[in-house]
Amino acid sequence: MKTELNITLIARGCAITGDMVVDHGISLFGLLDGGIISTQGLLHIGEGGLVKGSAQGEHVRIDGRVDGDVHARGSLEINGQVSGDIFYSGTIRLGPRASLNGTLKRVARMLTIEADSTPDEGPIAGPRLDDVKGHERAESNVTEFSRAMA
Amino acid sequence: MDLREIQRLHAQFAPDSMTIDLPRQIAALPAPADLTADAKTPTLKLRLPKAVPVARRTVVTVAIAAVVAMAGMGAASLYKSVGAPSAPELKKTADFPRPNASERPAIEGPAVAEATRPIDAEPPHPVVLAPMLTGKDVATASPIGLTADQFKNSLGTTSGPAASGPAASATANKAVPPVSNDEQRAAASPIHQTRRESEAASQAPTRPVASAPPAQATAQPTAEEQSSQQHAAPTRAHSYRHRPHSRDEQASDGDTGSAASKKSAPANRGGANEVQMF
Repeated sequence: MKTELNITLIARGCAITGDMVVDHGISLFGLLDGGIISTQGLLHIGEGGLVKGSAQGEHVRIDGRVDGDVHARGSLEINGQVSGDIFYSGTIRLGPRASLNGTLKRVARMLTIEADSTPDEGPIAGPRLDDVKGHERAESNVTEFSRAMA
Repeated sequence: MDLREIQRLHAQFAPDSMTIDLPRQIAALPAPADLTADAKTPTLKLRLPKAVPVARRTVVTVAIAAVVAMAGMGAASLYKSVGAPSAPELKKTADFPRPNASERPAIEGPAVAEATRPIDAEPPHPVVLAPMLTGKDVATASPIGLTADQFKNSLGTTSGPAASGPAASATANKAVPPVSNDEQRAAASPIHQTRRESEAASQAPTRPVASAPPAQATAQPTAEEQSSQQHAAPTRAHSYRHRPHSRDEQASDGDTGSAASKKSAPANRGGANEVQMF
């Protein structure tokens, strides 16, 4: 079973407000006012693209401008402007037009992923568990009601 | 930056294409045995029809090979039991000591005799066990002539009883076959044969005399003449009986025989005298 190449393209002249999460590669040539997370593939900030927030991805290539922190679990290639701290786990390449304005840190790969995902999923997982318990109670109530009717 | 360049860029970082092999994945899973058995049975059902012709060919080939092998084994067993000598027998014949040069001529006689009979698969007799030639083997062979002893014995059996009387001599002549007796006599001495012919020639003219009717008076002399001849024969037999044993002496015996014929000549002269009287 071959995995087909699946990418998301935000072309020039497109402006998005809010955070974006994708499970595949993405190329951004527009304007994004918020953070962007790519769990798999390449997170590409193309030339003329602008992200006003943090950017997280497996492989990150920045040819545009990012005003926020950058997290790369794999390779990181910068040939643009980054105004924020840079965390990378694999390799890092800097192009001739690279402009870094922040700290550069190499961190362990697992810590990078868990530190960001754990606090976000915590409050979401709680209500879900409560809902499941509520359904179980409802079903139990129904059974009790059916027993009472019988 | 067009779309193709973007695709090419993303393709560099795309995850590797992976093939999902369900049977391997299921086998790798720590699943219970029932599930794995259920997963294997469809593959067996699919592979079984493909394996049937191959298995059939294999079985046929093995069966043919087994039949041929059994036939070969049977033929080998028959050949071993009927025809060729077994390996231990060959080894035994090889272990036999070879005959010496001095013993070889002794075995050649029986070997030639055995050559005439059909082929025998048995190993040849060892030289030690081979029968040796003795005097008995030579004695059994029938000689062309007669030795002095044989001739004397043959005459002794015939002339011994003849001395007692003419009737006994006649029975003795009947008992011994005359043909062999003549042959023996002829082989012994041709001189006696000539003498017998002369005797037969001398007796021939006497028979008409005996059959003549007026010969009543002459019948008595003929009877006397026959008795005298019968007396002469034992005398010759006695002369033969006292013949010496060696051949050299037999040669001299021929001389004596000729002398005896000379002695019997007066009897013939007597007969001649009868003829003269007749």
